[in-house]
Formats: sequence, C-alpha cells, structure tokens
Amino acid sequence: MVPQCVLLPRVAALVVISSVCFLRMAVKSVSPYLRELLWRWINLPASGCLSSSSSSSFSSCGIKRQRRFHTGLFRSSSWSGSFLGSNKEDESASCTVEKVLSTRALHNPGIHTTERGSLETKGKLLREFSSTPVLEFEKKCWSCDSKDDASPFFVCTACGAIQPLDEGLDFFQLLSIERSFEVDEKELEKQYKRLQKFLHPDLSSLKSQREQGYSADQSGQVIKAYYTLLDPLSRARYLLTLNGVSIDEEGTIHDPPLLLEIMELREEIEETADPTKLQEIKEKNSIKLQDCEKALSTAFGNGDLAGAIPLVRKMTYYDKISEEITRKL
Amino acid sequence: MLTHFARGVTKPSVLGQQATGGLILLKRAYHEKVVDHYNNPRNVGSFDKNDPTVGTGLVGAPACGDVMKLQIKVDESSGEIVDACFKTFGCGSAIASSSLASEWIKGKPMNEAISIKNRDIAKHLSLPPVKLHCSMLAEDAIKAAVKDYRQKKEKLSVEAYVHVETAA
Repeated sequence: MVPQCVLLPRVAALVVISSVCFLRMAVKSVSPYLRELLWRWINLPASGCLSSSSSSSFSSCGIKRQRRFHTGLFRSSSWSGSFLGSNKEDESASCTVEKVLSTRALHNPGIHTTERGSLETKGKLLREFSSTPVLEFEKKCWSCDSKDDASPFFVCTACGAIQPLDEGLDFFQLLSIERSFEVDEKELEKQYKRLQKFLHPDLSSLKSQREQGYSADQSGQVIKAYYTLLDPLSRARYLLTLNGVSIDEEGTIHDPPLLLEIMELREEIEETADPTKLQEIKEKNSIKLQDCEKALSTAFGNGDLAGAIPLVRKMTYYDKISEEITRKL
Repeated sequence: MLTHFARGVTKPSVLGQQATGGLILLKRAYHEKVVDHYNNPRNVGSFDKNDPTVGTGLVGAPACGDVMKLQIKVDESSGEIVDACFKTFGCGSAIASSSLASEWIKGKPMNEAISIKNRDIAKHLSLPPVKLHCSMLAEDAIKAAVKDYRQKKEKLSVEAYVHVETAA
C-alpha cells in the first residue's frame, strides 16, 4: 500500500493538472462574450475605440429596433466587429450601427438621433463609424478621387477632368438659371457660352476616350437645355413637365373658337401666294404670340398651371402658323 | 441550358424578324396607303356649315398643332350620311386618316359611322405608334360632325315648335 504522504501530492498534482486542462478547455469553449470580458478585464484600456466614462464599466451601444448588446466587448465577426479596434470597414458586422449625425453626440453619452432611428450610448464613442451607405451623393472625381461640392459638377477643380453628366439636374440647374418662365436671354446666352468654353468636345480631343465621352454628353445636354429655354413655347412646355403636367399626353381638343380661327388662318395662307399678304398675316400672328407669352408669364408667376395649359395649346397653333408662313415665303 | 435551347428555337423567327426589319428599314417613310391618300386625297372640300343637313366636326391635336374639319351631309329621313368632305392641316398621317374616314362614312347611317374606331383606321393605314393620335383625331372628327348635326336638328325642331306655338 502506498503511503498517504506520497499519494497526496500526486493526487493534488493530478487535480491541479486536470483543473488547469479543464479551465483551458472551458476558457476556449466559453462564449466569446465571456472571453472578451476576461480579456478586457485583464487588458484595460483596450482598443481605444470605446472608452468608458467610469473606471471599469463597459461602454454599451444599442439600437432601439434591435436588441441590446455590449459592443465594447466583441471583436469576433459574429457580432459588432466594427466597434472595436478592428477595421472600420469590417463587413462581417451583423449589426447595423447607425451613423450618429452630430459629432457632439459622439463624445456625450445618451440617446442620439441617427439616420434610421436612435442610438443610445452609455459611454463615449471615440470614433465615428457607419456600416450604412451615406445617403447624400458624394461628388468625387473619377480621375483623382478628390471630393467636390460644386453643383453642377462639370470639372474637377483639382485635376481638371471633365465629370460624367448628372442626370438628376434639370435644365435650369444645368445653366445656373433661376427656375421661372421669365428668363433673361442675355444671361442665358452668357451661361451657355461660358459652359461651352470648357465642355465642348473639340477642346477635349487630346484627352482619354472616357473623358471625351463625358464631354460630349455634358455639351449635348447644355445645348439641349439652352435651346429649350431660349424659345418661350418650349420653355413653357418644359416648365409644365417639371411640374408633372404633360400636354402631349392629352388627346384631341374641341375648342370651336380657337380651332375656327386657326382653320380660317390656315385656309387664308393656303389660298394666297402674295408675299405682302403673307407678311401681314405673320405680323398679326407675332402679336398674338407675344400676347400669349405675356399671359403665360403671368400664369406661371401666379403658379396657375391649369391656366397655363390652354395658353400653351394656343401658342402651339400660332407657332405652327408662323412656321407655315415662313415655309411659304 | 434551357435558355440556350430556347434561343436556338427562336433563332429562325428572330432572323425572320430581322429580315422584315431590314425591309421595313428600306421603306422607312410613310406607308404606301398614306402616301396615296396624301397625294390623291378623296373628298377634299367644304359644305355650307349653315345648311341644316350639314354637320361640321372641328377637332385639333394640341401636341402637334394639327387641325381637322370633317363635314357630313345627312339624309334627314333615313339618317344616312350621303356625302362627306374634309379639310386637314397637319402631317401626312392626319390627312390620310381624315381622307380614309370621309371615304368610310359615306353611305353609312350615323350610328354606324360613330362606331368606327381609330384602331381600324390605324390598322388600315399601318400607322406607326407615334402617329396613332392622328387616327384618334379622325375618329373624334366623325363623332363631332354627327354630334353637331344632331344638335342642329334638335335646335331647329325646338325653334319650329316655338314658332308654331307663337303663330297659334
């Protein structure tokens, strides 16, 4: 029989070894939560991403529409990997951390409004981060990647590269003209010429294919905008389109006085070949067109779109007559 | 694999379409019927609009600035359209549509004339989608002419009644 004095230390050693093994296994298998807890407790302060306002408490971050979790604790990808010292662009983050809108909120604990809800922080967030895309369009040069907040963004101020056409801009914005029926034609021409001075495709013949393409698109759109806004009738139609009204979709009209007048005028033009007579009709027609333009200006000025529609129709007919006379002369 | 098979099956029809597409490309202008009506319009003219047997339909298309006048002469006893004429200022398709409409309504009773649809006119003239509004204009012109005649007739009968009443 082995004496107790020999057995005891062996048993003790066995117990110690097995407990160490067990502890190691337990530490390995225990949830990452506890591992981190242990790690943080041992290694305070940790990543520097989140710091606590009190000495040993942990910062937590939660989103009201999702369940709470202690963000300061997780480094593994199954949780909020982007919170800790890890990469800001950690795509494995399963939580959606909202972008805190004000920088002041970053440094003060409490409930902060974010883009999609609210964010409650119990500690200071030292770093602003977001896993949601930024909602507003960030204008960046495709060539040098520098940011620009010019609108419209034609040319990069840093490298001079012509930018792709922004389809979201209307003709008024493109030519930097105030949106109204009343347009200063001289100002319009000035803007048009200013833009064509650097957007015209002939000026980018030595540049890359890509830039030449952008130049052609931009220049084409500027030309289209200029000619649409130059003519009062097309300007009126465009303004109506911008306000969601489309005249082209309407069917036929039954306006006896107007149609009778147009019919008689057209017959008169058809029957006569005398240039003097035609010129006379043209002059009378021009006066009618000018009256229409004045009335349209008043209508748009008052925001009376319903009143503008019959005027645009009338103007279309008079314009056609003017065209017909010009063709005949 | 299935799509590949499907593509293989549809290939001949696609080719067929391409062939006709090519043919269409060659004849890219107006259809020959439209050209015929444009060059040789039937029933161009005017009736006296004050004539009680005449109905005048005057319609316009605000989008393109076209104006169309279609007049009908109605036999009062039978309600049949004995004659029709038109005058249109607009594109070739508009002129052809109104010319065709004036041909079709001749000899028909008014109720039958107003049943003529724009798609029948468009189909006959093979109008492209962008010119469908011209056939719509022609349909509306027929209806407007019939409506004008009926209104005139009613007005005249009311006037005659009032006249008889005052005479008595």
